[in-house]
Amino acid sequence: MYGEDILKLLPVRIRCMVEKLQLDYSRLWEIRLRVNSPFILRYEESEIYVDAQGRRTSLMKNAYVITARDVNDTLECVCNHSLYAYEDEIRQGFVTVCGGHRVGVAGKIILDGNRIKCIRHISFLNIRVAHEIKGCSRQVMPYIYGDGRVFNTLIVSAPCHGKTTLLRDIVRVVSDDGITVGVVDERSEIAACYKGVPQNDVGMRTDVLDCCPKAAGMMMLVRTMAPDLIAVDEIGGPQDVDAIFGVVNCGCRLLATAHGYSIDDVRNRAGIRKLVENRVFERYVVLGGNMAGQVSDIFDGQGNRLCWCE
Amino acid sequence: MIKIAGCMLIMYASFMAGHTVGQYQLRRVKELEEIIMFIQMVKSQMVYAGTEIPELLMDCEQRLTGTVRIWIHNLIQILESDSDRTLPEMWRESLKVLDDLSALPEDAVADVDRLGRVLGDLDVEAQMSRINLLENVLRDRYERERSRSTGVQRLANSLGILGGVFIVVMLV
Repeated sequence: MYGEDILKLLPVRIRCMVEKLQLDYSRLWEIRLRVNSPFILRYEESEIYVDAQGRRTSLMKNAYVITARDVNDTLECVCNHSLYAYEDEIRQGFVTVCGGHRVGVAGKIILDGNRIKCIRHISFLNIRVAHEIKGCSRQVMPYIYGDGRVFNTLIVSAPCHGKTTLLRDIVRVVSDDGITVGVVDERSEIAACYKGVPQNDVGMRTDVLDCCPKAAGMMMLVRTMAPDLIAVDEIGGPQDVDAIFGVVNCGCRLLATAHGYSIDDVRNRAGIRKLVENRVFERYVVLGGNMAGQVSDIFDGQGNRLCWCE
Repeated sequence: MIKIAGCMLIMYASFMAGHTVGQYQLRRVKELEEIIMFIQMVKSQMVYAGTEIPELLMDCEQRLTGTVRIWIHNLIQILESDSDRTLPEMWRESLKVLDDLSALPEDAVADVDRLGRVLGDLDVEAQMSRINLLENVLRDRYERERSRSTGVQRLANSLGILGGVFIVVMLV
C-alpha cells in the first residue's frame, strides 16, 4: 500500500526500474528526477544510482539518464493529466499527493511584478516520501502535557532534525486525548492534506488550515474553530509574533517550532526574542544530536533545565 | 391489388432510404452541437472549479447524450484502466468510437483530436485561447451543417420519393 502510493506517481519506464530494486519503501526518502542527470534515489542515509535495467550501480556513468519526457510524464501522473488543476500548488513549488508525499518542482519562474505567476519548463522533480513516526513524542509528553492542559511549547531544532515530525505526533496524541487542536499548515508538511483531507494522522479532534499563511491562519482558527491548542510550524517573522500574542491573549495554548541550534540561538532572534522576553512559551524542547528526532534538552519558561537527555 | 401493394412498398422503401440520409444529416448537426456543449462544460469546469480531467469527463458524460456520451464513457474507461500513457495518446485511441459510430465528418473528429492535445496543460490562459479557437472552428462547422440540414433533408426525402416513383414506373 505504502509503496503503491509512490509507484503510482511514476510513469511506466521509471516505475519498472524502481520496482526491480525491491526497496523497503519505509526507508526511501526521495526520488530525484532531473533532466539530463542520473537517476538518483535517497535511500536510508545514502544515495543510490539506478541503471536502465533497474539495478543499483555505484558508478554514476552507468546510471539511467533522466529525459525531459520522463519528467513530463511523471508530472502528468502526479497531476492526474490535469496540471492546470494544480496551478496554485505548482506556483508554491510543490504538489501534495495521496499518501501525504510531496513532489517538489523546479524550473523556469515566470514573474508578474514581484509575484511568482507560474513555473514553466519544469525540469526537476523531487518526490519526498512522507514518513510519520507515531510515538516519537513519548519522551517529551510528560513535560509538556498534563491534567488535560498543554503548555505553550516551542520546539527548536536545526533543519531536517525532526521538529515537524515531533510536532505532528504531539498534535495527534493530545487531539486523540480530548484537546481540540487547530493546525495552520502553511507548507502542507504537518497534515499533508490531499484534496482537503489530511494524509497524516493528526488526531480526531484536529482542524487543519492547509497552505494558509501562519499569521492569518492562527486568527482565523481562533475566531471560527474554537481550538484549545494551535499548532504552527517554523515561526519567526514579525507577523507570526503578533499573531501569537493574539492567540495567547484569546486563551488558546500554542505549540510551535522554530529553526535553531540551541535555546540561546533562538533567544537571540529578533522576532522570537520578544516572545521569550514576555514568557509566552512555558516549555522549550531542543532537538539535537546525530539522529533526527533526538531530544537534547527541555527547558521551562524561565530557562531552567527540566530534562537531561542523551 | 398485389401490384398496387408492391408499388406502395417500393415507394415507401425508397422514401425511407431518402429519409435516412436526411436523418443522418440531422444526427451530424446534433453531434456537433453536443461536442460544442462538451467544450463549454470543459472550459467552465477548468476555469471556475479547476476540476481534474477524469472527474470533468464523468460530469460531462452525465450531461450529454448519444454518441458523444458513448465516446466520453469509452475515454473514461481507457483513463481508468491504463494510466501509463499520456492523455493525448489515450484520447486518440478513444476517438475510434466517434469514427465508427458517429455521423461527424472526418475534419470534425480531427478537431476533437486536437482538443485532446490541448487539455491538461499548466497554463490555463493559453489552454483557454486554444480551446476557444477549436470551439470557433467547430461552431462554424456546426452553423454550416445546420443551415444545410433542412435543404439536405428535403432533397433526400424528395429524391427518395422520386426514386420510388421511377422504380415503380420502370417496373410497371
